Amino acid sequence: MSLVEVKDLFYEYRERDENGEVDIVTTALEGVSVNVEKGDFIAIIGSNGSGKSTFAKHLNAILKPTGGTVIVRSLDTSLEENTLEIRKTAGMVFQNPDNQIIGSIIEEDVAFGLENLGVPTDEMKKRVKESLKTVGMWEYASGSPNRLSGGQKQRVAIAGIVAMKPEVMILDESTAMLDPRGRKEVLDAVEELNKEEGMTVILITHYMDEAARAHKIFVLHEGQVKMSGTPEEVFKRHKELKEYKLKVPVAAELAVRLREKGIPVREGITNDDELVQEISRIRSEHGTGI
Amino acid sequence: MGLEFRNVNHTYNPGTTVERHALKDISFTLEDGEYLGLIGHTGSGKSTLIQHMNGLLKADSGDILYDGQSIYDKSYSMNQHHFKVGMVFQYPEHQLFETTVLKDVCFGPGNMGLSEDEAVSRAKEALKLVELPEIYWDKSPFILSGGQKRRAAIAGVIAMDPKILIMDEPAAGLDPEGRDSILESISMIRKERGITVVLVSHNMDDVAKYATRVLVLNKGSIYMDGTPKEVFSRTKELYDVGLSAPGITVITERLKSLGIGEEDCMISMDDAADMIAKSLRKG
Amino acid sequence: MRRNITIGQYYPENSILHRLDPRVKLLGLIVFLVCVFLMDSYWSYGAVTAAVVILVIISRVPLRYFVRSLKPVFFIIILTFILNIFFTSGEEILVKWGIISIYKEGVIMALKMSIRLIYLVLSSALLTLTTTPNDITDGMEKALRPLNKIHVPIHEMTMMMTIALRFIPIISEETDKIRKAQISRGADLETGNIIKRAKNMVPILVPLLVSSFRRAGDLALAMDARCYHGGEGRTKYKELRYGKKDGIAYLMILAFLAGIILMRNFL
Repeated sequence: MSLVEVKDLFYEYRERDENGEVDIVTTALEGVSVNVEKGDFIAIIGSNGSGKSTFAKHLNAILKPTGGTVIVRSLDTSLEENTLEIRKTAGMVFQNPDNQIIGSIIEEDVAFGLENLGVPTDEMKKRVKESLKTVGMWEYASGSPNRLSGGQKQRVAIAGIVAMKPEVMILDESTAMLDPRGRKEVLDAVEELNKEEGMTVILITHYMDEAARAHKIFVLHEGQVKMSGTPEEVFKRHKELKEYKLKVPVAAELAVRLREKGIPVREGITNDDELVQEISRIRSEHGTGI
Repeated sequence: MGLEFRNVNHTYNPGTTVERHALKDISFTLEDGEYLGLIGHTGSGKSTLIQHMNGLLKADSGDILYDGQSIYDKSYSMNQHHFKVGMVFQYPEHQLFETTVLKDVCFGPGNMGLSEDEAVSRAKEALKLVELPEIYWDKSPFILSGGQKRRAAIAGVIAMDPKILIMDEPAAGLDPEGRDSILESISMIRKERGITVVLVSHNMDDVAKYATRVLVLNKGSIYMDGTPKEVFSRTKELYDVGLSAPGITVITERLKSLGIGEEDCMISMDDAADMIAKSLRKG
Repeated sequence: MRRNITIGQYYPENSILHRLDPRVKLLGLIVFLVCVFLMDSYWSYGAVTAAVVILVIISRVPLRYFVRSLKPVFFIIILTFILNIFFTSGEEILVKWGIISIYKEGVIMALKMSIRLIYLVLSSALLTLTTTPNDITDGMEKALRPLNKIHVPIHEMTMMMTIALRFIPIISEETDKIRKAQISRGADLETGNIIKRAKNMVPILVPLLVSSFRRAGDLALAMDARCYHGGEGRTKYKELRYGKKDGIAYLMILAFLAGIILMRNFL
């Protein structure tokens, strides 16, 4: 049994038009199936409006399927009585760093979820400290979140989730509003959690270079999973990605251009390191004979 | 001519414990028709600098001249200056307020004292320039998608027909296609209207692609000022102040250090592919 | 930048007043306010004044912060003084000028009322300068918790205060940003009569409302996602605990109240 099992998920919602009369039924998700194993690092990528955020909100029972099932650690999200247990299991970090911090003091904010779960004060103190240390924010513990950078705020939000000891962490476009340094801070923290603590991670993003760090990528477009596979497998199909309004990382695109020019660069380049290695390999193997 | 900064200083909260010297002795001239990429780490003073350009913040000392005249002169109309130097803030869609997109875009031209017909015709022209389809013009701005809202808000500034257009991270939060298409639109508007553009961005690839000149700020001072190639060739110095170079520059510099390619700094994908292919063929 | 504004006027120090449990300080404030209205003799005025002076000194907060706290109410104090001095009648006329007469009783009343007002403000400033807003909220929640039994939603009320404290600086920063954006579009916010000015605020108020609703929605989701389900079964990260000094402070507060009541009745 996988940790998260999404099977043939449909989500439809009704909208009224401006006059409040005719209903328009919009299908945001159309038969999405995704399995996530314990310890996985999954990226869900898609353009704005592809349904990726709607998908994310199903994983911790914020939204309920209108068709199909979402099972988190053998709990069905459509059953009301499972909600609290699911939210303990699947923690979610949102997009806007300002709108998810509740406390005016950083350590108190991290404790918020633990207070809700009724964790005893002594245990709480220990967990708050541990989780703030994990994301490298312990030195700011007694300060105000207002003075932090976007990346630091998101790390505080991550600490707030980590403290609750969930089995899977979902990042719902949590880097979209950050500058490059903030994005890197957050991604590094998440990657470390995955590697060191074995935390299962589901990263929702439209940045390809972030997705490249995952073990497996799902490409969502118009509510459907259009591609899935390792970063190498997905980036190979760069033309298709373009159709889905996405873009491969610079290294992957340069590799394609070079292949077009007849340079035998291998397929499946995802990052700078791989490309630089590949080009120097070609030089040493072929010399001038290309 | 253009917009000239002369020894501009600005300090926030002077005389308190949270005092911050945000601009230190800034001098440079933004020439007419330039596309200036303004880069710097968060807190480097970019946002303070652009707010001086259109007069939202006043320099503590120093002077700013628009076409040779000080904008702080009593005879100079600051209100008119806001129209000459249009400002698109980060997430500009958050300032939409009218009942329809068209009315919202008319807000600026209306404040300029234009007749309603004139304001509407300018608004329509601006909406066409930002490529927002006509079916949305009479809709409430709040029902548009994120990218469409962004375009409507930018149109609200374009409609004032500014000579200088300042944009703070106009592509923030958009997906790769949305990002490219909004930057393409701006580039096209610049060509069509011959205006000066100032782009504040954290995305070095975008700056390298569009800017004709790059200004790097660090801790309130000008750290570098030059063409994109000049600035981005100093990769190491950029790393020192928490910035990076365009992705393509990073790769080509690494290859050069391995002896592959010898040309100057590369900032475009095509040039880089050519250089690597040539170098490999040559051996 | 607006980012640096703080709510309230907390002055970080490590005085004994800063370290007292907020519940002690809240009760102290209430008792003090009662005393300010109970004082009637010169003795009691002297005792309350002495208490204010001693507390200000041991708070180790610079005097100018107290003076600053009086600024916003300065006008009200002057007004109270003038009203009392001119409109209190009595027996002993001090000055007579046309239809205006100033009585001795008027002067005394004016002084008394002004002193009361000043002490009211100073005592509240003593609380807010030595206690963070969060501590005040925590203190109130704990002190008022018994009211839960009669179905007063104490937890909900304090949660609202906590959220307000967190979002006031963010929203004020946002207001500033929207204001600047609309000024850049030529919005006129400074001229015209009241009605025109109110109308001119629409371009600021609408975006502000929209964004506040968006924030509220986001925050509700974030709270849900972190298993928030009301006050039931909730534990506290910062459990307020009384120390020895708090007990002593309670005793002193009660003794002070008793003293003032005694003075009122026997002096």
